[in-house]
Amino acid sequence: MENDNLKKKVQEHLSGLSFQPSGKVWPKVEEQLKKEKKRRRIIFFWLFGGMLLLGSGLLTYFNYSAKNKNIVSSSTVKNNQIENFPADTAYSSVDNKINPLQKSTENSSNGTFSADTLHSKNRHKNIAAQDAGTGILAHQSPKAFVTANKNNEEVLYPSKKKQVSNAGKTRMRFKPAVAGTAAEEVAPAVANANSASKQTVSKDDNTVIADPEMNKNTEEKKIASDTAVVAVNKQEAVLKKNTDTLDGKITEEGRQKKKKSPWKYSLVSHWGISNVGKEFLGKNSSRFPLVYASSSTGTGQINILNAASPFSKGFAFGVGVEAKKKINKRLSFITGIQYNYFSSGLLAGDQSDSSAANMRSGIAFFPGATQTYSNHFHFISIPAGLQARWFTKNSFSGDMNFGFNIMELISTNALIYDTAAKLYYDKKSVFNKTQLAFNAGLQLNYTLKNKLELSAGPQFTQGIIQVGKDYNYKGKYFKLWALQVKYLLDKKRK
Amino acid sequence: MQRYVRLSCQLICMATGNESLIKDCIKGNAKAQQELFDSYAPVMLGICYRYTKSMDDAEDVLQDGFVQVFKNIKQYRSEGELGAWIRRIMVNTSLNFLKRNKRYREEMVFEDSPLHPTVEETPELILQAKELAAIIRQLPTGYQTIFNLHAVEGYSHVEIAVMLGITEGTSRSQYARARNLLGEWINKYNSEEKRVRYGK
Repeated sequence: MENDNLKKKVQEHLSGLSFQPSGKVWPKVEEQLKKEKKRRRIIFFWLFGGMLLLGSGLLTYFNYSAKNKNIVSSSTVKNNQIENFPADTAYSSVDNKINPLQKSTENSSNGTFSADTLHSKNRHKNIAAQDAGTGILAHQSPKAFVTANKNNEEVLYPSKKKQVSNAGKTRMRFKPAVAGTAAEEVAPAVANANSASKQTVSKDDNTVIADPEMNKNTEEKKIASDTAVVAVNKQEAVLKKNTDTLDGKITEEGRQKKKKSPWKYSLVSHWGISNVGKEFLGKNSSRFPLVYASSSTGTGQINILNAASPFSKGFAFGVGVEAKKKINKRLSFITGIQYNYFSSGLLAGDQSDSSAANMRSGIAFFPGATQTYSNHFHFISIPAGLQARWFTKNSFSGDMNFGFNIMELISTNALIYDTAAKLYYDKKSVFNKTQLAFNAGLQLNYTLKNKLELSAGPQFTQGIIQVGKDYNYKGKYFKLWALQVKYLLDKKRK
Repeated sequence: MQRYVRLSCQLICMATGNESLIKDCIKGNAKAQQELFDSYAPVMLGICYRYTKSMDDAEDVLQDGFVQVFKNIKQYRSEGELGAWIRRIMVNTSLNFLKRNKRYREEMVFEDSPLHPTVEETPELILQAKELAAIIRQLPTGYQTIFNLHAVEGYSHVEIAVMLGITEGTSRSQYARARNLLGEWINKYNSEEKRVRYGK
């Protein structure tokens, strides 16, 4: 029957059979191709959007710590501006009684230092103390401060030094002890900034104490200076309080936030279905399920079946540790390390003899459909992505996550199909060892009584880099649909 | 004669200008795609026509087939002839169409019947290709498919069995039935033709 003449005659007759298609076919083909293009564009748009979101999330995360620092410094400036008013009032209240010179000194100092950092407050305190007592010793502490703060040196030192030299000779004679006390009281703050300032202060003290003229000071001045010291102390207390409430509040908040959002670690595992898909984010099943490799080419002239078998779905799972850090109230950054196993099946024929197998340093199969061979892929992966909280209700909460997975292929037994050799065999060099995949998913979290958290939800992973560089893996990507379960190791803090 | 000249010219064009055309098609160049379509569509429509029952269905298959061609053209390796590769896609698209389409699917019932005795004598083919194709299309869908796959495309019965999910024996018996029926019809056609021609 195989040699029947009818077959030959029919083949001869129908070989040239052709019809001119109607004009509507090509526009339809074109339209479908455009739709396909559009679909791919949408996919890339989403991917791009995801990457953008991830990028902005990371940017927010990295800016966050820098912003905290900025808050501290900007609030300090604000404090300076705000606190200068009560300080000024305090000065003037003392000043009115004691020394009219102080105001001008203070004004000049205010003008100069209004935009300075925390140190400038201490400087003001010094000025106030010294002015109250002598109106001149005030400049000793700024000097100390100037020594402490090298950045301000150029701005502050010349004028202050001049004032000290002008007024110091006459006024330094009285008020040594007070000046010393005032300076000493303020000194710790300055000293905190730089120990040099303390040295300077103590030096000033010694100088003052050593001055014999000091003993000639009247009780009145002592009382006045004492009042000034009290005022300064009060002022200092106010400043300290304000610092605590304004500066401190913000920095403390930042610290607390930092404390509240340490890295949280979870045990993660997923189980599901994986495949090697023909299209990027497209349908998984082959459009040509009937095309598979065959040992026989038939009696026809066309070698129709010399093609690789389509892939079928396989089991997949993964285990690992996930680290999570809060970026803000809703958003968290997630990373970690995981072991991932992917598999997919293909139809193969009988195993080839040892010589054919040895030629290719491993197992080899003839094409055909007598058995299903399972390709295993083992990966170590590092995910990086964002997790967003979308609802919280009682003990339940919902998260959605998306990100990327960098996966390193550690081993595989996958078979490639060589159309020239008409054989399936393993050739590891064909596979792209480093894979990048996009992943997204949903999670439902449940907080247990012991404050531990259990999460579960669907996850989807789509490879972005082709599985292989050639053969039947070219233009194909890994796909994974899985159920992910997470167990938060860290106990929630109250 | 003219037809053979046209076909051979077409085949030469296909063989020579394919590489650049394929590259352009991979890039998504619409002009190149249309050129490829224009070159191969008539022959491929002939294939689709043999597997279906109407020209509209054949054109639908052709359309789907060419969409697949352009989507998968990256995977085409220049080892084999492009025409053969497209032909393979068309055959598979036709089979998928038959399986997907309810009307055809219901007709494609393959009974595992004992091998039908084959008529040894081969009918004379005085009819044209289109007429022969039209007669093949008169066969029940199952017979038609198996006859096309075996007699025209050259698949073995083992391959057809795997492709259609039937046994090899079924494929053989269905082919034998198809062959006998077709032989009968061709003989009938020949006698009618002779009667018309020679006034007998």
